Amino acid sequence: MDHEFERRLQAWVDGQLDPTEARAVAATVEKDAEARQLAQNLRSLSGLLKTHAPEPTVPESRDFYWSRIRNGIEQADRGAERVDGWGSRQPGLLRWLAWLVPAGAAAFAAVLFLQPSNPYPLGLTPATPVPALTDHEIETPSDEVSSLTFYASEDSMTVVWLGRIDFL
Amino acid sequence: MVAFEELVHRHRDKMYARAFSIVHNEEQALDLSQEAWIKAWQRIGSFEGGSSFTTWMTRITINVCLDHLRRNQRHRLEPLPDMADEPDALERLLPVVWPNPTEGLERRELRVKIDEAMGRLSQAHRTVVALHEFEGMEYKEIARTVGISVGTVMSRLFYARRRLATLLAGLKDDEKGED
Repeated sequence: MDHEFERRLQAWVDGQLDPTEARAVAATVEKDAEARQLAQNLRSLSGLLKTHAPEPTVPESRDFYWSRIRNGIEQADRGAERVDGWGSRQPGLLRWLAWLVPAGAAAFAAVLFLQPSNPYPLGLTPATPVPALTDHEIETPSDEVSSLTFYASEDSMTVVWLGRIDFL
Repeated sequence: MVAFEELVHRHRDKMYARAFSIVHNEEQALDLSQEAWIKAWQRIGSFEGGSSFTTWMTRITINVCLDHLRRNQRHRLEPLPDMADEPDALERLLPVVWPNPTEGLERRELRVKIDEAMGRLSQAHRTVVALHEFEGMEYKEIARTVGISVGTVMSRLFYARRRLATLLAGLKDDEKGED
């Protein structure tokens, strides 16, 4: 009997073969005494294991066993609350910033464009006048928006770069 | 949580026994069965009643144990399970004495002997035997749960049974020798 047949015989004993294969194995078992003996041995062992399966019991008291589970559940719940709390606050903040950032940027740009000839937007007149304001850059950092203003005197144009700071 | 505590109390021995049949270590079986209960609490909303609570809970316990074994296998220098799938050439030549369940030992003693023999199987073989013989899982289900092919399930199961038969016969012979 080769190993492949032993495995199929075992599957037959365990009822795991399709009907065609099962019929083929049954026919062999009928003719082959060795196969019949192996099938019988496999059934005996399987029956032995099923009816005498070790059934160990929890070697701890009910209260002690449960207390460790309860602690685990409470720890897991606290962890989940921390994550949920952060998650539920962040979307509100993000929604608020999503409106604030472009709105603030648009207002800032509008003020600049309303004063195209003013090289010092927003009244940012330096104490000591800069001799030539050609191609001058002004940086106005903020927590939410980064902006860089560039005035090209030749073209009488103020260009403002706005960037949203990605804080996440 | 009082109701859940009652559920734990009712089913704790069965879940512990299932974990023990796979890992064969008291401390680990305790930890893993408790971990399974914590997971069950977290997933209790997904239990739809399609199967019995015991079946659902047993599946969680088995999965927790298998995850534990997979984690451990990565850190330990154990022989790869596939290497243990096929019996030794030498062992295959030895005559195998299959035990007669109605003969010899008493019921309680027999349980102890089976437990000892199970403890001497490799982790991979013990898992397949526990899932098939004690849990009644079909080959395909075992293959899916453990993440191996049906052919490997068949090989492991055959080898494990053969080894168990040898071990049980040996244990019975030892006992006779002591008398």
